[in-house]
Amino acid sequence: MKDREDKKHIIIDEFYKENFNREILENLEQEELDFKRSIEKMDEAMNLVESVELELDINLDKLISDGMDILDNRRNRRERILFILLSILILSLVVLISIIGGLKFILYFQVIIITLAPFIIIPIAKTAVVRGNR
Amino acid sequence: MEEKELINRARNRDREAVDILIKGNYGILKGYVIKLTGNSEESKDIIQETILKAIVNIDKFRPEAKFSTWLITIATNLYRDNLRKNKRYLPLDEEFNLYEDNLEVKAMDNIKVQEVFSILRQLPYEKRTVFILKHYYNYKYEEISEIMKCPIGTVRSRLHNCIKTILNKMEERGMSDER
Repeated sequence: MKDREDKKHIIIDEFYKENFNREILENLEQEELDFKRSIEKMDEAMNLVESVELELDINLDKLISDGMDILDNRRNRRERILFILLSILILSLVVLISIIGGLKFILYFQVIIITLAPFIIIPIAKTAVVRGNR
Repeated sequence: MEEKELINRARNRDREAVDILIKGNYGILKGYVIKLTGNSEESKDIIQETILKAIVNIDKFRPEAKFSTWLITIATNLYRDNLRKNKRYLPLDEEFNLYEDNLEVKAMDNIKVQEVFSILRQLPYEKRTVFILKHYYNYKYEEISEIMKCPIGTVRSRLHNCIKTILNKMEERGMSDER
């Protein structure tokens, strides 16, 4: 009885091209052959639903646009939060160093920033523009 | 263009790549969800939600799997969640009128198709999902176990049980003797 059930399991695996013991399928009895035929009939019947062409009235373009908008909003929000956190960190550092280094430090800091700013901002802006055009 | 390249472009907010990915896999997703739910309204909701989720979470997609498999995984999870929280999605015995206005299949075929959908809908969700993935999309047991997040042995036993149930139901409805 158990042997017969095992064979049925193997018949199903064979039908769906999964790993199975081929030897067991060599001597099938009538009941197992009938089972094999009933699976083929089931296949035929179940495949009828493949012919179903159902119009669901889904506007894919609008859906994609909505998805892209949500994605953009989410990324913009993340970037904004990162910007605020980074600004707070930099300003806190400046304040902290000013307290330690005295008022002279603020003057030196401003001169350095004004001198270096164009060399940092211009290449970054250029890269962003080139990437945007691509 | 290769799928991996499309995914990379989609991650960089390339609308054209997202378009190709979604529209190229829409047919598979639609067919799968219709077979899973057997209901046009529910299918529409799940497909829309799946597409939105896929676009919004495109960064989380692992390119080792196919994009269509990912869509199917999302749709399966959404359907499962809907079943859990929404009783509206449970009435397996409700009037089945999916084809009334939408289909152009012959009358006899239409009846048979309705019978098949009715059998599918009567199967428990887990077994139905495994059967659809295996029978119609030929996924390997291993792939189904990843989609369903269950062991391979469970997938195999669900499929085998499901087939026995389908055979019994076909016999009850006299479909086994038809040619």
